[in-house]
Amino acid sequence: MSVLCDIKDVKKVYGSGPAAVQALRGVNLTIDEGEFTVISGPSGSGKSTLLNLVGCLDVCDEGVMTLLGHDVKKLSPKGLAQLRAERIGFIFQSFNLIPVLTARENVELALQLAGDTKGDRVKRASEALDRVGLGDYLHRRPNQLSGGQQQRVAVARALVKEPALVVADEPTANLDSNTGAAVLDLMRDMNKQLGITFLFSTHDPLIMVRARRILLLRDGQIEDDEIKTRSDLTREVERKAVQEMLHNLADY
Amino acid sequence: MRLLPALALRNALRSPARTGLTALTIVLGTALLTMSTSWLTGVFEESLSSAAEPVGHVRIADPDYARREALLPLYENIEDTAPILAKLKDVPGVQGAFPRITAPVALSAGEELGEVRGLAVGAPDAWYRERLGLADDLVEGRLPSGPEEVVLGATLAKRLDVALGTEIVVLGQTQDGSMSPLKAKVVGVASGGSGQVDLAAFFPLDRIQWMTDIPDGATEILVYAGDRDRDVALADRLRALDLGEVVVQPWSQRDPWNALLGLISLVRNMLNGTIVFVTALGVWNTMMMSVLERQAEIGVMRAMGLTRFGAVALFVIEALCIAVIGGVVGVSLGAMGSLWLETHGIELGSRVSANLPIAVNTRLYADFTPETALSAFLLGLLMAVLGSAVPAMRAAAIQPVEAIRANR
Repeated sequence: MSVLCDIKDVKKVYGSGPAAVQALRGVNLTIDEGEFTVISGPSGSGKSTLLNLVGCLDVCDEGVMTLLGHDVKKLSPKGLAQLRAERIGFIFQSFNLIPVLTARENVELALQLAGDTKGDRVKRASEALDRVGLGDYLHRRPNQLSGGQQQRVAVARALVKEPALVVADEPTANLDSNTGAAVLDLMRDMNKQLGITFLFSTHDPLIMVRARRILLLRDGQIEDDEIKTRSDLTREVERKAVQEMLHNLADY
Repeated sequence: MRLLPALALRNALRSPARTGLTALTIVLGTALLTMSTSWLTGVFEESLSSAAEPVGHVRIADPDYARREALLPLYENIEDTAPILAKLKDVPGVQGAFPRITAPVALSAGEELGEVRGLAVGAPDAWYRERLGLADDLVEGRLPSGPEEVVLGATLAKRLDVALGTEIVVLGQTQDGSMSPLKAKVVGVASGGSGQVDLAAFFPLDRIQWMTDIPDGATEILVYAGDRDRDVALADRLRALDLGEVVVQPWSQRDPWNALLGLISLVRNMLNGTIVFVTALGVWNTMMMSVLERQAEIGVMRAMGLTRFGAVALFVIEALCIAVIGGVVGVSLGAMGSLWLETHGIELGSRVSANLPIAVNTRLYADFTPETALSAFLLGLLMAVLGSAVPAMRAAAIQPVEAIRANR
């Protein structure tokens, strides 16, 4: 497997002076193509910051980050936008579909923003929705879909351009457990079928159970990075999930 | 980018109340622009017409007379107008040429000389009828038909307290500065609604030539083209002739008309600019609300690769969609109002124009043209672009990561 993302001693600070918050304190990480990886950790540990950096939504203050062969720090805002548009798919916690567009148009928009000039955009958008089980809902607007259906549209939108990487920020946080599990199984299938790399940030044990690799972040540093066998994974993830929940409860 | 215009159009229909408010702003702006432009055009056309006809579309005069015109120097005259008038007859585009003398005089109707001051004008009967419209301005009586007859402006007649048939004494000067009195019988009283007619005494040309001792000449020759807007072209043609030691001045380049034309243009532009600015502020307000409401959406689209230009275009297109509808409605309403003003006009009252140096009709009419409607519509689009530019740029500046974080 070739390396998709290589992060070396990356640091990120928000704010300045006494109010400065060091979100990442020297992270080193390599993500290979085709991984199905979870970034976990308590609130404020730097999960979203790391996810934003890998998704090229933000740029690190120090260190080196190479993504798909590009030194991200050297890319212009336009270059970053182009990389995001063509090679990275996004799935958000709040779905973030465009409310005035139908399901098919929302998916088609991703192709259009990626600069796809092929004439079969409508067909490909329809096929992507068909793949996520929404072939009969092409002309529904987001407010006519359930939360799970909306997130499926978001998955189709992220995958339709066949990106190298899908970045998903708490994708199941606004879904009930059954729907969340169904959406995750869908993403895992896409990972297996298409070889697309998935990177999640989550607290959700449902995702951690399905992940092949779990990164545990604490205080802006990677505390644990393990690639599990399936049995180990299930056991370990359940243990971590329980620990995590207890930890979060302690935070309250 | 087929979806972006569609998205902009649907966004325009997303919040009917807000879109309605934006459209109403543009309706008011374009309607106001149409009506104000039509009315100002009507008023200015009327004023300019009143200004240009009495002074000639092109004037030929002695260079020194032209330079010191305010003093009316009679000795700086064209000694013999006949050769020039003969040459003008063959020039294409010349529709009339009239010698004229204007001289300061003192008038009296009783024993005491110099009771009332005014201007004596000497010109051919054709000029009085065709260009000054003096026959139309007569309140009573008729135009002069003999050498010892005069038409008085209404203000002069009132100050002299004379009636038709009264003999008046006019004390003027020859071109050498000698006193030169003449007698005349009042055969008509005219009122043009301005000082230009109401403060003047109108004589046959030969009578004033006799008074000023300029027997074959005049202080000016007024030349007319078919349209006053062709004054510059006609002046260029006349300058190519050998007319002797004279200056040829198109009306629009003479004081004070050149300044007046600049002023008219300034007033129009200021008024239009003010309306565009105020309307754009209204559009800005509602479009800014849209941007603030859709921050997360724009952030997501920016994350997906929407360029800054695309974000700007999204909001500008939305505003333009609203402006097209608002502009059509606004211009239609404005056109109806303008057509009403074109028929009925607005009465200002005679006091407004009584002391103006040029004749102005006291009932002012609009002049609505398709060009006015088109320019108001285009300015409506400009209002939308200006009003949405700042909100659109703000949308373009939204950082995806911040917008998405705020929406969590």
